[in-house]
Amino acid sequence: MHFDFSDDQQAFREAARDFLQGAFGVDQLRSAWDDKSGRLPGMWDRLQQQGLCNLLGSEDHGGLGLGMLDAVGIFEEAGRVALAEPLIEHAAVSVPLLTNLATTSDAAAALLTEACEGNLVITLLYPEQTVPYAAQAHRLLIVDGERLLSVAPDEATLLPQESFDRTRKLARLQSVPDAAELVATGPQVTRALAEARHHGALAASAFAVGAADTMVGMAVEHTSQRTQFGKAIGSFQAVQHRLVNAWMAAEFARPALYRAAASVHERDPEAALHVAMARVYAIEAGERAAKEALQCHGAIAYTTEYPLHMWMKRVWALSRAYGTQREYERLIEERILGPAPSQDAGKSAFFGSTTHE
Amino acid sequence: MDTGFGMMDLRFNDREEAFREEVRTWLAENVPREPLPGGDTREGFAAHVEWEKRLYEARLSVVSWPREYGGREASLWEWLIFEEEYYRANAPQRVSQNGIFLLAPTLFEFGTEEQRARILPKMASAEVLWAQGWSEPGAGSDLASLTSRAVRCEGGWRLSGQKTWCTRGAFCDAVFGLFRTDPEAQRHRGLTYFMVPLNAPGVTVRPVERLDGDEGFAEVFFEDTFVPDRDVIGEPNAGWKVAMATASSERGLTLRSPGRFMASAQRLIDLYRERGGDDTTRQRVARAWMDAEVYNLHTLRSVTRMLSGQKIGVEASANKVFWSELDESLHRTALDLLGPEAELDENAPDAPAHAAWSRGFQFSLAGPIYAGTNEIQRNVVAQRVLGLPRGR
Repeated sequence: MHFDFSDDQQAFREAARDFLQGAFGVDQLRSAWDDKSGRLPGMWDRLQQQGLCNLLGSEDHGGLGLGMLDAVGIFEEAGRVALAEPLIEHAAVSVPLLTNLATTSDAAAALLTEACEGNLVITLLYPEQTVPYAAQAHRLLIVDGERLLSVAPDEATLLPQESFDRTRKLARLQSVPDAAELVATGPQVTRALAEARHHGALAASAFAVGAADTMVGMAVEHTSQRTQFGKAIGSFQAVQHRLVNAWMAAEFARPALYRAAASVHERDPEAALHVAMARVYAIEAGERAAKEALQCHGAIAYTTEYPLHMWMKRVWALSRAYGTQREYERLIEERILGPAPSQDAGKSAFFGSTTHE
Repeated sequence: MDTGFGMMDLRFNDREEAFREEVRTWLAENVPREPLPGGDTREGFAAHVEWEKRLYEARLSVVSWPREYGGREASLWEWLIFEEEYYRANAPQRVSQNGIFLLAPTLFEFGTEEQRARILPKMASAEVLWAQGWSEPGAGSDLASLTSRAVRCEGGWRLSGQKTWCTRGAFCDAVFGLFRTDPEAQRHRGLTYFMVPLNAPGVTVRPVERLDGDEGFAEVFFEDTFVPDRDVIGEPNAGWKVAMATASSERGLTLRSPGRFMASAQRLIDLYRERGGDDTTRQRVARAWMDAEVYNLHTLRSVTRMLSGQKIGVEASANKVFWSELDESLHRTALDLLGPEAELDENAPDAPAHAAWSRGFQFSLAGPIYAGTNEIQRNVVAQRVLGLPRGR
């Protein structure tokens, strides 16, 4: 039994952390927020040079051939700086999806090679899914039932959608373009998509835990310095307990997150259950940190002059972008408790026995 | 996938699994078919002491201790496995736990060879049962404000004062606690750690009934009780350090092992399957299972890091908050599943087979209070992990 990362994994994560904290501080996040692309020009190339865009791509196609256990720390570090780049969407959804299909589809293999070179690939599930960065992609991957198609964004009718997070330039595909090329079809697409979902949901979960850490850290720093009634407000028990609760949520999300990363990495049969668990705790941690950090800062963090809102909005968006909490909880309930009964169970004596309605 | 920078190993090894098999088999053959009367009643306590002796004979009462004291030198992993199997088998409550998990670590770290040889084997065999005498009427969360004192005399000390909230104090043979030996010193300074037989002259034990029906809870009064030097642990006036050394790292792990809650969660699932429940109830049952699972994962990670030499410090305070709140929530869900039957005493004619849930629920409300209230634990995390300023 050894539930910890290897020295190499830790070194890899630390290098990514140093790079990200140096390259993407609060000023850079603000620039991205104000930029029409929602990103910092040149940042994607720098990520590519660091090997962070093609982590999960197979080595045969120019990727690093790593697995989720190696990558989970990278996404956590990206969340720590609220990285405004399509790292999750490209590296944790499109690349694993294509890696899965590359052995049986030449088109997928070619696209994977392009993706591993840093060409942005964004995946969307037609017709419902609204995704960020679609208009900026080199190629769009469209999942339409059991078909996987690819098209250049300028040949697709993308309806832009504003997000409260201005780094997330969203769009919805209005119709499948005639120009879209078939990449793969059949049950293999469904299987590959299931794995890509695991990777994407887990990457977003890791991102939320990293963001949670930063938000709590901001609140600790602020409340340690802000004085009222002659004392640092961080010395008040109510403030302390709120921040401890937020810290604990992330502290206990991490083991679930890392275990799920191991399961996805090894293709454990229970990976879906483990990912669902990780997701539930990680998103709760992100939401809790946002709430308690805002409350402990007070009005100052309610302004956009203070940077906290940028982390909060990212977490609020990610909390619902890869499935809702209730969906993941239901997945766990099904697995642990069996199928949900079709009606509510019988009533207590006070309300009389169940009658037909 | 073999590529990448390394794999985690989330399985126990063959030797550990063989130990699990051995424990599981022994428990299957030895756990009483009918539950014993409650360990918190006088009659039940005696039955539980008999059970402790059987564990001891199988060298299972103190698995992680050295063999010379009755243990089998089990690793931390093996101890976790033992606990998992113990709770899975619904084995009797451990009435020796205050001695084993609180006093023994103190003896291992600060005791003399003589004390260990004299005290530990009898603790392991349940020949002597120990109670913790920590709180006083005026000193609960603020333990350092305790006023019970000990005055130096020929060959030892004379103890006077009062301890309260002693679990199983009415049934145990001996008590351990802190007494003020330097009247000039303030708060945590000038305290000494004593071990005292409960039948010593000058000791009076007064039972206090608890809301969950427990009969063993007690106040203990000391009136000039003589304690010899050999029953002091560590240096006189250095008792606070002795008492607190094991308060975080090991305590964070050993006070409540994950196995306890994983077994409770499984029983909750069984109760749900029997009784049914609506969408919200399903959500709560699944959450109990998830929280127990997460607590287990958190523990596995902590133990991995401890075994690789990293110190687990005061973050362990958060463990206590986590498991105590999980336990309360889990039991509350159980009571909701039982509905109007939840209030039935286990002796009531219509008492459901799972009446122990209501006693478990009532006891779970003590969880956020004992072993350091959750408010204090949160203060500790805030100040010593997050670095927030002290309020006082």
